[in-house]
Parts: sequence; structure tokens; C-alpha cells
Amino acid sequence: MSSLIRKGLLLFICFSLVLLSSCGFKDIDKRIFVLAIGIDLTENKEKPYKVTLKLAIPSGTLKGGQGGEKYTYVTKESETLAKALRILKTHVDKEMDFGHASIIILGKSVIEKDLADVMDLLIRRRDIQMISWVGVGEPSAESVVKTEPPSEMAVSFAFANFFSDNGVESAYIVSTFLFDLRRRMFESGLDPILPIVRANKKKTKLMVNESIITPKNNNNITLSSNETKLYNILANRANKIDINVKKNKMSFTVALEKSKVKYKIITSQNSQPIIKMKIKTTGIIEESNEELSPTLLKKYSKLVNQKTKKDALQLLSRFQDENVDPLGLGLRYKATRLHTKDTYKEWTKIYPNIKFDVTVKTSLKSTGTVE
Amino acid sequence: MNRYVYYLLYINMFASMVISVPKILLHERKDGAIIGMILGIIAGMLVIYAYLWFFNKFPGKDYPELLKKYFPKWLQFPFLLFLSLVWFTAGLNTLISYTFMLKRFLTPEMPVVWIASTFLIFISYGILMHTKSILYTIEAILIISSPVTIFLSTKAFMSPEFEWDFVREAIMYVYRFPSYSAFTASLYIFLGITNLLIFNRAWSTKRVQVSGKHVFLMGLAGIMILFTIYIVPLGMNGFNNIDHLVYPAITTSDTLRMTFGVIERVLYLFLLFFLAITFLNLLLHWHVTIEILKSLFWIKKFKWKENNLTPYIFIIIFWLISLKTVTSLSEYQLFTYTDYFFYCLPFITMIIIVSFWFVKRRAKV
Repeated sequence: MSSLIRKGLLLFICFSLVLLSSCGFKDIDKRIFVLAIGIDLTENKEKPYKVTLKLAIPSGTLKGGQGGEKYTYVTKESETLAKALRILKTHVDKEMDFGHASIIILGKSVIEKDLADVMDLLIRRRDIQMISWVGVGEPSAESVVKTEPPSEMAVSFAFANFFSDNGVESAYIVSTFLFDLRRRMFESGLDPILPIVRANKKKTKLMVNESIITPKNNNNITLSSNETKLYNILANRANKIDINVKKNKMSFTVALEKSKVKYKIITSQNSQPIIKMKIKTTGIIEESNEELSPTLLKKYSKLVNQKTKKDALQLLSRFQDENVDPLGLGLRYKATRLHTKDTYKEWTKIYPNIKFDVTVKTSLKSTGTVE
Repeated sequence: MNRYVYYLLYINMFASMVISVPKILLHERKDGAIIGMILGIIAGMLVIYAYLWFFNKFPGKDYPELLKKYFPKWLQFPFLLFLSLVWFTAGLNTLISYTFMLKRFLTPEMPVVWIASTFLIFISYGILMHTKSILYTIEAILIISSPVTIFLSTKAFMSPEFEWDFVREAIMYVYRFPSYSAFTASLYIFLGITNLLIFNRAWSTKRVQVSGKHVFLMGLAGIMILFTIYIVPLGMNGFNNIDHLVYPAITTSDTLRMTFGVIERVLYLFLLFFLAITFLNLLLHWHVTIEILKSLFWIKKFKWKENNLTPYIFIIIFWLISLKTVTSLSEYQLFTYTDYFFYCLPFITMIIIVSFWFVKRRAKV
């Protein structure tokens, strides 16, 4: 190729790049970022969906947030979610960007009615992250989204801190990503579980310590904070777990650092199917109402074993009675049996009769800084 | 062994991690994908062996050249034209699917024609480069982007949300009659080696070596890539419903999260790096196309200041066909046609390998 053609081609490329930048690009001052999406269902039949968006107002400095407003909110009721979002675009003077929305709050009404219907838009849209967290808002998604805890700073968004494990680390919080919810909603043998985010009446405080299981048959079950903690242990998600043990007059609390759960489903033709579950934990004692002797650590461990075992069995049999499966036991059954027949159908017959055999092995390492 | 032969193969493997191959494999997950993949791996390794064996005998020669020497005249022209068409389609498939994907995820406001044109501008410049320069380009970009792709794949495997039970559930479907489309899709990832048809001319002194070790190393890479393609989307997105995802690999990349990374959403990183690799793959395919075409049509008098302008005619044709198809196809049509294209590949590969045997016998080497 002669140099002339090369130069010509180069010029042509440069020229076309100039044209390219002119389409689709918007400066950041023309955009506003959505941080949280709240969806409620209303009684109104014509406009059943109510969408609330939390929008971040950019401020120049970190301290700038102290004086002025940090967030603004828009709410709209509409017949479809997509329409609500389009109309909401006309309520702010900037282009809304959903790429940073890391929290989706669903009203309790949504999960009571039809979760899949509402989730469809969120899963289908390309700009909503599959790694956003989903939670259930109480009393309503709107009030939760509009809550601004005083500890919330301009750059650290309160909701994200609850779920991301970078801020709060707690065994009482279940965090569910959107993609996790999607697979739990559509796969058999595994039921969705969502954290409940509660706001107080003055909208100054958020509390996340309960959860809700929403199986396919819409038979929702709320787990108390203790049950949520146990669920986290059983699902291998927990760290920093506290367990309180009471025996006679003695009462002490241990802080477990790590826990590991393994289980096996054993079925044989003649005997009752059984799930053998092994929980292994280590920890130290955090609180006690009497003096503790370090020589008796083994005895204390045993007490913790008994207590955990009792609680775990209780929770597992509750799941069984209500016919929900947030731990994915059915999935494990399908995953360990060759698919030569409908294994899931088999599982639905087995599950109500299955027996749980839980063994807990705690090793307490210390009585804390005092004996 | 010449490391560039490896690059030819790896580029195709990395590039096929994104669009059609995972989609086809995951679609067949209940109908014999696993056995199909195993058969594909075996067939792929045989193909690699055949190519290395053949080009080992003819160092520095490209396939059209050999064909012209040892083939009957009436067969040369249609056969080479057919081959150039196959390579062109392979490139076109990559171009269109990547254009659609960019439109969906990265630049939704940009018209499709513009996205395709940006590709085409650089490609037209690239495919006219010397064969050796293309190989150097590949090396540079592959070295930059392959660590990132490997990092992302391991990240997916290590993710706490990765549910091995879904993978195990998929393995429970092993007792199925092997699926033909899964076979073709997994064979496709090994077909990067077929670019040797033209690229063999770059090494006139160092001949391509053939040995079990090289075939095994190449096959191993293929196995690892297939494993990742098939298993990671399953582990992150579940088993029963995964065929509802239009772009399984990309949705899967969106399920990864880099907590302390500059970009939290892995999706964009994934798209950019695979964009680079796909671009190279397109470059390879169309370079082969244009070289075959050059060996067929060469208008000697069509000159302007010592420059023969024949290749530019081809490029104009490439532009026209690409822009026409990219605007007229729908996503669904693209996937169906890709399937058909994959169905043909085993036969085409067979024909080429038979021709190898023919050429070798006539050349008496």
C-alpha cells in the first residue's frame, strides 16, 4: 500500500470517530443516578403498581451533604412497571441511570400476590444489575426506600452497607442477590428467601434481622430473627453468630466465629429416608452469669452442641411442616440421583417423611479475656 | 513448536466463550450435551492432529497454493470459493452477534449500523495487513487479555454464590444420546487451528511440528474452556431455566461482583476484554477469506500508482454484505442460522482433511 492510501485511510478513521462521539453520549451533569428501587402493589385495580425511586443528588464535597439534601424521591402509580419508570423520567430534569441501583425493595403486598410478575421487568432490563440486592420492605417499600438513617453519609449508602458484608457483618441478615432470587424462583427444589427491611414510623431507622420465605405456591413464611440466624448457619452463610445457652441457673453466650455445614441425603428402599447433617463450629465465650473454668470448656461445648442441635432440628422440621425448602435439599437430592426418572417428583413424596439427624461439633477455644 | 499456532487456536477458544457456543451447549443440557462435548473434544483433537500433520509436510506454503499445484483445475475454483465463503460466514457470524450484544449491553443508544461500521473500519484496515503482522497483533492482545479472562473464570468458580448442586444436577443427565448440535458447538472451539490454511505461509523456515504432546496441550486447553463455558453459567444461574437467558455467558458475568475493584460490575470488564479477543478472531477469519479470494481473483491491470486495488473490491463487498445482514437479521434468526452453520462444520472439516490426504499423495512427500 502506498503511503497516500494509508494516510487517506487514517484520516477516514479519525473522521468517523468524530461522528461517533456525537451519538448516545451524555455528560454526567445531565444524568441522575437511581440508588434504590421500591415497588409496591396498590389496591387500585387500574394502576396496581407503585414505583418509588431514590435518586442521589451529587454534592461537591463529602461534608457538603450535611447542609443540603442528599437524596430526592419520586413516586408514581401506574398500570405497568415499565410505564411507571417512563413517566418517572419526566418527573426529573435529568436522564435517569439505573446502572447504579444496587437495592430493590419489594412491598409485602408484592410477594403476597405475584412475585414473578414484578421481577420480570427487573430481570429483563439490561441496565439493572443482577448483583443488586433484593429485600422486602415493611410496612411498605415506599417508606423503606424513603428512610434516611442519620448515620448515612453521602457516599456510603445505608442499604448497601447492610447487605454487602463490607459494612455490617451480621448473622441476622440474609442477603439475596437478584440473580440468586431469579434462580430460586425458577428452579425446583430451592425456594426464595428474602430479608425483611423494616423502617420505623419517623423514617429514621432501618432494621434488618428477619427474613421471609416465598415458595412457588405463595405460602409465605416469616422467619423470626432467631430462625433467620439459624437459617444462615445451616445455609453456610453465617459468621459472627451468638448462641445463648441456659442450664439450671447457669446462662452463657458464645460467639461462634466459623461454622461449616455438610449434609447427605440417604435413601434406601426399606428404611425411612434420612438427612445426616453435620455442623462444625469454633468460638469463644462472650457472656456468662457465673464464673467459668477453662478446664470445663469441653462441657460448655457440649451444652452448645445440645442447644444448637435442638434449634436446628426445630427449624428443619418447621420447613418440613410448611413444605418449604430454602436450603435446597431438593436440589441436592436431584443433584445426587441419576435422572432416569422424574427425580423431583420423587423428592416431593420423600420430603414430608424425611428424618433429620443433626450432629453438632463445637469447639470452644477460650472463655474470653476473663475466666 | 511455533507458539503462534497455539495463538490461532486459543483465540478461537476464548472468542467462542461468549455467544453461540455456550448458548447451544446449555440449550442441549437435558439432551446429551455432556457426551456431545466429549465426542467434540475427541474429534477436535483429531482435527488438530490432521492439520499439524499436513502442514508439517509443507513448510511455508499456504493451502490455495498447494491446491493449485496438485488439484484438477475444474475443482480448484469452486472449492476455494466455497472455502472463502465458509470463512467469511464465520467472521460475519462473529461480527453480527457481537454487534447485537454491544447494542444490548454497552451502547444501547447507538444505531446498529454504526456499531457494525466501527468494527468494519478497523477490520478493513487489519485484514489487509501482512500475515506476519497479524500474528504479532494477536500475540500482543492475547497476552494482555487472557490473564483477565482467566481471572474472571476463576473468580466465578470461587464465588460464594456458585452452587455446585446445579452443576451436579446437570451431570445427572449424562445418560442421554449425544446431541449433534452440542457436538458441533464443541468441535467449533477447536477449529481455530484451521486458520493454518493461510497462516502456514508465515513460517517458511520453522516448520509446524506434529507430536502427541502439542495435540494434548491444545486439547487440554479446549477441555478447560468447554468446562468453564458449560459449568459456570449453570452454577450461577440454575439448571432448569437457563435456556431462557438470551446471552447466558453475559448474564453470568453480571452475577460476579468485584467488591474492591474499580468497576464493581464485572459485566463491563468482561465485555471489553472479550471485545478485543472477538475482534481478533474476526480479523483472522476475514484475513483467511481475503487471502483465498486474492488467490482466486487478481485483476492485474486494475492498478493505481503501483497499487493493485483488487483487495479493496473485496472489502467493499464485505461492507455491503455485513451492513445488509446486520440490519435485516433479528436476534432469533441469527441464532438459528448460527446453528445451521455449526451443523455444516463437521462435514466441511472432513472434506478439507480428505483433500489433505489427496494433496499429500500427489505431492509424494
